[in-house]
Amino acid sequence: MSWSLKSDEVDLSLKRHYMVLEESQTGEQHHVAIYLGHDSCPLCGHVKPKTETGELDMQAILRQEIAALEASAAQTTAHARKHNVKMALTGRKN
Amino acid sequence: MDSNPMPFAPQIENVRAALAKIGSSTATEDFRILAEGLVQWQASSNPNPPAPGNSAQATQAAPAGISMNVMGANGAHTVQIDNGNQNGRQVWHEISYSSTKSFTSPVTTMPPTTATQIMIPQPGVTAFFRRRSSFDGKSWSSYAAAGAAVSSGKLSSAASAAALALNQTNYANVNATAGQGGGISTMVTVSGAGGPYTGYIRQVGSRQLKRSSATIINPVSSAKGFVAYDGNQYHAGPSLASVLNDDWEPVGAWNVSGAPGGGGLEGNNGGRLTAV
Repeated sequence: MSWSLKSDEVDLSLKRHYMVLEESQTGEQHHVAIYLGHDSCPLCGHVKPKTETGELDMQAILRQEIAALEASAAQTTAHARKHNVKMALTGRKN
Repeated sequence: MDSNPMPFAPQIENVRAALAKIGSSTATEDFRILAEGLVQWQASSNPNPPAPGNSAQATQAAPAGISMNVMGANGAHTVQIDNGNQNGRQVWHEISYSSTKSFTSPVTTMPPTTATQIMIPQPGVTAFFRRRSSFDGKSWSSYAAAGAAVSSGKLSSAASAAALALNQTNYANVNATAGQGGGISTMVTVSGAGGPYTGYIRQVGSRQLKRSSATIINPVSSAKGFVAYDGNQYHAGPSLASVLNDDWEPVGAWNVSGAPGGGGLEGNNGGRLTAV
């Protein structure tokens, strides 16, 4: 099981960074969206520029997401092998 | 003496003779008449060969001066035909369309009609259109294309009943955590029944469709919001209305101040959107 970055772009109109991670064997995907523009107050609706964007460490976020995905997959695969259970993919994408 | 002389024989002879002296304007004009006559004959279903003269003699039985416009909106193509002046004669039209401009792919041909406005309901179809017309339904004009491909668009909610039941839901879990540090003020996760980082199932009628998991960082409204999927990407908005585009699938809601595990439209963490 190997997850890697399939697409990586910043959408200027939506003001966000969008990444799609994909597992090479199963084709499963995990999406990561990071909003970069403004915040709005949920109570009064006041809009202000985001203050934390500059602190974002994209490499760390990517590493963390891939590590979580691979750990989850590795545990599942290990369980199947340990108990000698057939592995299958469910559902379909449309 | 030949009782059925070959059409355009004088012109052909003229062109042949003129080949020796290129530049003859007479031969050029004869050649134009000859070429146009043959082309029009081939395009028509008239079994009689054309006679030399001005253009359109071969298609005299077919109406001329007709224009067509095709529009696409709300999941339907609308073909509008202007018959022009046909001196009160009834005009039949045969509309056909194809996904390729050359009409080499499967072509759908509509039954001939005298109507001048034809609506074809077919959501999400992009097609090239052409028309041919006739006075008697037998002798048809050549095909006239409508131009560029036209998209019918998709059926919008405006065309649906106000309380139409869509019979769809999903099994997504939407959760949010706040204050993770490292520039991450809010992290929203979209996952399935298998837990974090697993895809979820979208149910449309009896069909089950798989959707990917997602992580959304620093959404516009950090405390609470809604998630939708547009078929390619996830979107997070501060209000339900902000994610209710016609083409988007509602996924769920989050509320970092609420107790985890709840559900429902305005639910706490774990909320999912359902329309049954």
